[in-house]
Amino acid sequence: MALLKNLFLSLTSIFLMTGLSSCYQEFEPDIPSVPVLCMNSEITAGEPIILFLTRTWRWSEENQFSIDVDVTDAEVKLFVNGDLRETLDPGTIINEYYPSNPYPEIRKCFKGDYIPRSGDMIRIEASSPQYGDAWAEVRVPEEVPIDRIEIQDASCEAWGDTSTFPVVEEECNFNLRFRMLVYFTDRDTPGDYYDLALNASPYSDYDGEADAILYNAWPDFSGESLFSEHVSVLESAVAETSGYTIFSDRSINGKTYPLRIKFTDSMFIYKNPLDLDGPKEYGLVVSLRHVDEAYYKHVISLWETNDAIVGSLSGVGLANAVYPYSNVSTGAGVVAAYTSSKMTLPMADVVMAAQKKN
Amino acid sequence: MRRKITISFILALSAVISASAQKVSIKAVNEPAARVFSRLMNSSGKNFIYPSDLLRSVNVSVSANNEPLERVLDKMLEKTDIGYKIKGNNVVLFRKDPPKPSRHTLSGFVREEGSEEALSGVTVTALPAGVRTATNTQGFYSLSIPAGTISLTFSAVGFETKEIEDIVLKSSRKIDISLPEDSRMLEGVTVIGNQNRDRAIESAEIGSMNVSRANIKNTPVIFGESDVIKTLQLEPGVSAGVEGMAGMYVHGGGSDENMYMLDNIPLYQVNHFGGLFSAFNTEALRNVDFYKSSFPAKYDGRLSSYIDVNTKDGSMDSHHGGVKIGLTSAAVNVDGPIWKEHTSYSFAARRSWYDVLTLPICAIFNSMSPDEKTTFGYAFTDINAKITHRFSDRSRIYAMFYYGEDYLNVKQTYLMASKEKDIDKSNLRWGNIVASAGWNHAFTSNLFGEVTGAFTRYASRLMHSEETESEENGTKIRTDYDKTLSRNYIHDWILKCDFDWHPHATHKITFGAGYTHHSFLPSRTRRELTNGEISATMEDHVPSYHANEFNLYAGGDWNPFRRLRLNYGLHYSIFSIESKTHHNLSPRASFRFQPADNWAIKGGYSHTVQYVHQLLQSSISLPTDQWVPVVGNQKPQTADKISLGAYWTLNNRYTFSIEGYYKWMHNLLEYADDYYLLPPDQDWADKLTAGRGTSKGVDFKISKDYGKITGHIAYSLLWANRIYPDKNGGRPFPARFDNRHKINVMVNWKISPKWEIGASWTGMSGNRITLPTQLWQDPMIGPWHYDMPLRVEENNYRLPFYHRMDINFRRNTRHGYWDFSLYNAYCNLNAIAVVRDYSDIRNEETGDYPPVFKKLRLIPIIPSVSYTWLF
Repeated sequence: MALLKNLFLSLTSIFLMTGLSSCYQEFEPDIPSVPVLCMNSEITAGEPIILFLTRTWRWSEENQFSIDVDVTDAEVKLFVNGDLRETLDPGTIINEYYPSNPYPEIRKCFKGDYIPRSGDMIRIEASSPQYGDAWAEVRVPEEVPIDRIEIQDASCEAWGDTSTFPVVEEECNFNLRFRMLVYFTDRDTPGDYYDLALNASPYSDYDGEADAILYNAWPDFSGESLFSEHVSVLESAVAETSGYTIFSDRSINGKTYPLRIKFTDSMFIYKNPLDLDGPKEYGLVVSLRHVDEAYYKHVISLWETNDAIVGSLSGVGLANAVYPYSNVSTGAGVVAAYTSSKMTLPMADVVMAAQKKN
Repeated sequence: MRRKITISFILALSAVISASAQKVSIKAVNEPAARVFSRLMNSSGKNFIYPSDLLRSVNVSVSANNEPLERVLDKMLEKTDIGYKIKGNNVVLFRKDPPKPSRHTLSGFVREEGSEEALSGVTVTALPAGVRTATNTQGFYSLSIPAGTISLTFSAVGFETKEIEDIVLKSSRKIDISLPEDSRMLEGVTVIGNQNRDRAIESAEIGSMNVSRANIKNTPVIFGESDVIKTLQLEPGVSAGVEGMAGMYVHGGGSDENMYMLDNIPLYQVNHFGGLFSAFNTEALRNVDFYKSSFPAKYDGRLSSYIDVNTKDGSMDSHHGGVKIGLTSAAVNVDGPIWKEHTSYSFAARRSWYDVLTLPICAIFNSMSPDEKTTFGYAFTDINAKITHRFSDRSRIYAMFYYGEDYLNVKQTYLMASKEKDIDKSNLRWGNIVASAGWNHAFTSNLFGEVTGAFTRYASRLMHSEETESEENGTKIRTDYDKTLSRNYIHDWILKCDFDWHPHATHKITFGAGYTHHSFLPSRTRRELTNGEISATMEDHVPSYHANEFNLYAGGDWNPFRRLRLNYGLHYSIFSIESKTHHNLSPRASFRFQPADNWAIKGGYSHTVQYVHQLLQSSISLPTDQWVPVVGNQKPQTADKISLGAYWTLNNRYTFSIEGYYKWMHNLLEYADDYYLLPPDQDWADKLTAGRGTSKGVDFKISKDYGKITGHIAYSLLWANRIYPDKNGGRPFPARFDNRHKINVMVNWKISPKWEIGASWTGMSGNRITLPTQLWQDPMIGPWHYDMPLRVEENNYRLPFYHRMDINFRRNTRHGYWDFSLYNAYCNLNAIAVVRDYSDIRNEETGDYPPVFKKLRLIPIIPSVSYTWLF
């Protein structure tokens, strides 16, 4: 798929810029640049606020993980609904592990005691003697619950004896195919933004000791038109579009709508031959995040700057620059907010539904 | 005071009445006039006032008996050149102006000998009057000349100069002439009579030129694909944009501010393959008129320049043609008579090879991937066809058709383990159609007119589909289907008439009117989705627009004195859209003053307006770059430009010119900051911001038009800035192609009748780019993670000085010619971008490859070869 998506641009590049031979020459552009404050925070209703306060760095300064960009000498104030609520304290957190997380296990941050609620207008102001001031403002969205999850067209190819499932005597592998419909009801007011997240729970590596693993499960989001509402036809033909699950309520305002996600040839490995509760507990956690506008715009901008045609052309000087979105006054960082609604789809239900069809 | 004036008036009036009424008697037979007037003075009591030498040697005869004084004077002076005027009691005698000799109009058509193609821009000079004019695009000329014996000279570049002597002009007459191709061209000499030199010295226009097909074909270009736009890129004041592209940024303007016309009909999409090639097939062209500073009243609708491409009519005499095989495309052209001397045809077609080249690549890929099959094809094609019929020497009709299209087809099939297969298809088509028909007629010897009806269209159709297909018992079942279709177009229906009127030898007037009905469909998308048992069809509600445009213009070219020439005009336009009507009056004025015969100083002012514009996201031409009108609260884009120039010719061989200009641009439309965050189906007008721009600069050019070696050296100096409220934080910034210094050297050398060599060197300040230097920490939101560059000032960095040389060798053979060309002959890899990357050299201390900035240098030396077979 990647080949197709890149074929047009690659061949165009070959002919447009010949690509017959090209070279790169290292240099340092004679452009002065001054570091500014960067604020990053994902504010979640019901959880204390954690703010990562860093400075920007010149690309050629050093690899960001080799230099200390954390800003710890700043004063950080938290305003809620216009009132100064508290000053955030410097501290550390243990970084949540997942494979694409590049940050160290322990990260410096600023923390507060206030627990945000849906509807709160949160404003954070930071002032550093060395890097100046920065501020950002965001409203915490209301929760939009998942109404229900439906499974359709489930089928599987099982490896090994599965006739007694869910009680099996040894490890059993299933190649699962199914379609999942996640129903929710959008609020009547326009301007709602969402992100859908899927996580297998509990998380485990293939080599781990979990009783069940949903392995190599690459959900196919392409069947859901809302996930590609930011993609034009030309982009859908020539640009990479996979992986994005952000959407707005522009076309579904106030309606109950099923998000369609397809799993093709996902491998579900069920290990525990005796424990009936194991597979019942193991499931796919579906999170519907009702996100604020900054969150939405930031994700859209990531696609535009890195995968869309303009972003690709911009990278080789054929289009004007496009930037990741920031709602911080310095132009660096995102202070976003969301409220999650979660529902777990037991994998055993999926396997049984698939077996029933088989 | 008022009373005094009234009394004086009454007295004066009574004096006139009394004088007129006075009756006298007198008789004289061939007597000296002075004596007769003396007698008349005595008898009438009037004073006769005249210069002392007026009546010397003048005899008069008169016989009057009690007749009014006026009648007597009329009789007396009837056969003399003496006039009179009665003022009160005084009769003033004076010498009347000598009668002007009668003038007659000499008009006709100039054509190419053999093919009978109309020749435009031919200089027609009448001696001894010294009256000069140039033929229009239909080869028509008209001169108003005093009666007498005259000689006429017809000269044009590439043709033998013809002189007709001892023409006795007693009445208006018509002289048509055919010019043979200059045989000296084959001997390595470019002929005298370059109309660009004449334009520089004779006309009042600033920054205009004519480009012949030979000029275009002699310009060395990438892949050897001769191209009118790439020839114009070598002119001063024209920035080429991104290297290799057929872009044009004239005097700091935008790429959509140039009006490209095919036989005077607008062409909207002028690029193939992202802009690597222009849509104009050189083999179908006759010549090109280019205006960049002062614009004839006839033209309006774009801010920066006008490029009128005239296509070949076809030979009335015999069939000709050629077949060209090049590395990237093949072309064929043929023309000839359908009905000898009356009807001719011309046909040219061109098609690229790229799909042929990608075929084996796909085959190799498919053989390596049994589960994945890919077909990929890109091609462009264009067709020019024209039929011309001559009713008489003065009347002609034609029909012209142009079709140009790019198409990209991609199909990829993934075979699944479960007998399912996913089929991914893309089909993209975009291009132009122009169809026009016209009748031109010389109504009188000094009035030429043309009526044209035309349809021009740019459209793109982009389709992408994904489907899952399974097979059960030999029957194919489509389970999932997702098809998206997006279209956009601009359609114009045009009716217009243009007239050239030569009321006087020193005065030429052009006038005309036109009506255009525009239809716009900015990108409209339809999506059909079948997901299992669920089917849905969604279509966005992007409105289509219809607009009516009416144009009226009149302009003149007046030569009141030998050394002064004035060009003036007014172009009035109405653009009506969505119950809103925009009016605009575009005045044009320029002058030429000749302090000496080979010197000219010019100045001019022009106002232009643009009602439609192209939404451009990049510097390459994309099928999604749609043309849209001004809507809602948007105002038409306008520009005001003043220009000054000085021109000098030396020995009729060298022409020196220097032209300076200052341009103010208003209501310029541009994508606003963060426009890309709005969804694709959002109203396009919401994504734009309107601003202002200025540009100023100086263009120098030295050209040599005669001899075995011809060419030019050009230098241009440019400043171009923009300011938009919603871009770059509302702060001004330099335009992307603000190439401060640009030098072009172009040389053609006819070594022998068999060998020609052409070389061009371009050096210019680099393009501007936006180069973020600072980064901020990834907030880890979203599915993928990237660098986060910090926004910087727009176009904050200028790429290094750009330079390259292109060389072309031509070997003429008995049946055609070979072209061997080298693009970027000394292989200077010019930087086109700056990227963030990692060093190739490891840091020994950290073991890392440190992050660095890198200049991306592309386009090496590109050799190409083509053969053109002529028949």
